[in-house]
Amino acid sequence: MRTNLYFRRVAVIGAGLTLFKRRLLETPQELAWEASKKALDEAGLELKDIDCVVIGSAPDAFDGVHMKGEYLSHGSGGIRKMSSRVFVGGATGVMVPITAWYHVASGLCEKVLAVAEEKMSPARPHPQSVFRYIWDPIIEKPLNPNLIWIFAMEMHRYMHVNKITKEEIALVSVKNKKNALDNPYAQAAANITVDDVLKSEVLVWPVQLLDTSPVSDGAAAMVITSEDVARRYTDTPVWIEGVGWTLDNTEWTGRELAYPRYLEHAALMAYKMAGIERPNKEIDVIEPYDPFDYKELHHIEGLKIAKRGEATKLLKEGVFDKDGDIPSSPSGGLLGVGNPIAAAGLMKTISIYWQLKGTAGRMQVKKPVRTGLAQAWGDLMQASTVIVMRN
Amino acid sequence: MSWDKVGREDSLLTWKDVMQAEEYVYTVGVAGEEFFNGLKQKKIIGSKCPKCGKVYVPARLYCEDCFVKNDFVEVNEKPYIDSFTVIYKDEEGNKLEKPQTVALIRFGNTKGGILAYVSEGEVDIGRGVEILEYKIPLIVRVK
Amino acid sequence: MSETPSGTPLKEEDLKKVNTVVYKPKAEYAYSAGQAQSKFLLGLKEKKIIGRKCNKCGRVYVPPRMYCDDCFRPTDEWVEVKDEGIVETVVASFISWTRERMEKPEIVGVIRLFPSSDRDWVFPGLFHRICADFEDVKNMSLFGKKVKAVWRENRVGSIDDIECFEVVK
Repeated sequence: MRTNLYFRRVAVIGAGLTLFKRRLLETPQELAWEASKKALDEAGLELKDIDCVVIGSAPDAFDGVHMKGEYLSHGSGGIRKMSSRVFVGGATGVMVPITAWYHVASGLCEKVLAVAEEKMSPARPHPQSVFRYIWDPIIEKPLNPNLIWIFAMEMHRYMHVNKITKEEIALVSVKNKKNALDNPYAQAAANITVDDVLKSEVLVWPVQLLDTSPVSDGAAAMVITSEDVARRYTDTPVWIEGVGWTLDNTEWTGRELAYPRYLEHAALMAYKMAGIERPNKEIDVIEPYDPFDYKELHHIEGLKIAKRGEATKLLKEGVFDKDGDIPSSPSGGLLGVGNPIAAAGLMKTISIYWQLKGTAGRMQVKKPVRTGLAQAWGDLMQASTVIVMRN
Repeated sequence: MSWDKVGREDSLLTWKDVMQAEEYVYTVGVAGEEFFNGLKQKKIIGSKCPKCGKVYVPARLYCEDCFVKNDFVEVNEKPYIDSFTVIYKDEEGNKLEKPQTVALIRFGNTKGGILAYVSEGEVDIGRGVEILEYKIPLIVRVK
Repeated sequence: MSETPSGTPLKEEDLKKVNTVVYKPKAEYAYSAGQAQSKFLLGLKEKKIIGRKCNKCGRVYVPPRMYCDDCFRPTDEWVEVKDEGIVETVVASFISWTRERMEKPEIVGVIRLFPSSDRDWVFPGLFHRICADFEDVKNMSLFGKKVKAVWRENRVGSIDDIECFEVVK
């Protein structure tokens, strides 16, 4: 496939995940170690072979430990190595492999360990209360907002502009939770119906409890290397061929909420690098970020896989099912597996890695796959990262 | 920034608020469980790497160089003072009633150490100590 | 992918059985409002909504900013926008910021203030409460309605000086 890559080729040769659950006993360092060890074992490498470490973790305020990058580097093998921390809110999960990519593509490092970890259970009374501090302290905080208010506002506007009903959006939640039943790492897998979603607790109308992904603890890790190293250690490396990321301004009250224009920029950046001209024909499997069910549709439109306002039509035709034309979230996504803020994006990238390598077990999609895409989104609804991989 | 003569604000405002969650409940982790349960039984629990043999105190789940899982062991080495300091004010800047001596205690040949308050005795680097109370921080007495 | 996942899950009750360390952080802040927001807050005290305009691209910023995002140059003049606007989006919240359940929902939304048109992608807008019932939110009839600010009697120079925005004909 013709690509526009002017850098060294970079491949993924190992990945590891811990269980995603609401509350885990391990400390953040122990979680990071569990995931890193699995990734290294799959790659066939030892810690002393790794030259650089990239760590991704979302706000320190969740774990309750300040300067989390330094704290986590102990559990990620970052002691006495070149290590760096990246943070773009929820988009961190895909920013971590992108950062590891440019460490290798530039020629600086040969073998990089990329780790993402999040432990949301220490914060009391509820992790959502920590989100109180992302708002502008003078203009917005006095109204005592809850994080879910922003998502509800975006969802309601999306429904109004594109004339979509809640029943249609709930189909995404049903699909993802069902896909998660095949995923041994999942926290919230279930067999539900559209009725269950519509009858669940109303949090902030129109968002209801089964439209959201659960709060979790978890960690994920990947081993990313240059082409020479990859060919020595494995017969089936998965190549990273396109990356892109964009941030928009944080003034969300002054912007059209029904379409993520920043995601379009990021996606075009990644497609140009990977040589993709018609995304809906050239990509075989996708993992768009789905902390809420409408978000998957919102992002599918931003990724140009469906035209504006048409994602729901394709969803109802079954295009995004596991055995459809463009399977979406075969791992169960955040709705099914759990949402530890930074580790979730890396979990999605690992799911695409398993699909392209053929080792996804029961989650493997039916059609043969060549190109896969993972996407993460976050911050104050304005950052998005995209990664395209091929086998 | 523009400094137009009309509109330069003489009364700039400040807004007071806090940035804190109500409280945090930290779990001590798998290795921490062994260590804290050991403290309750008046023992110091460390962990030993099966590959390189280094012993870590307090116990750690994995070896930081070999990255393999450690085995938990009881540490019986003699504790000694590696370094110390004397503090006169508490964390908010108020003067303490009595200056407090804080020491870093290491155990024989192991890697790592635990902070302790020294209750009595002449402190000096290298002196051995006796542990009076097994809690965090330890309370010790110089021998 | 064939090994068993690692990690030790706990239930809320299990937290009492394991060792834990509890801590309450202390972090108090005095945020300085800066030039733009100070003038904005003082304007609210006088029942005015102040914005800032960039003359190169014509964009009006509410809340005001001293620099233009797109042109990357300082903005040029203070402008007053009307305290009326159109409802862009609205939601009804049944949970407080601590995730506690509320009986009566809090109705909030984004209001696009005049002067602006509905073809604008970016506009002067405010995030605030809207005086309405849950039913109006549910049947989506509030979208596109014209609303006006209801000011409090005692204003101190804070975003709370506006009680809410109510629908006008």
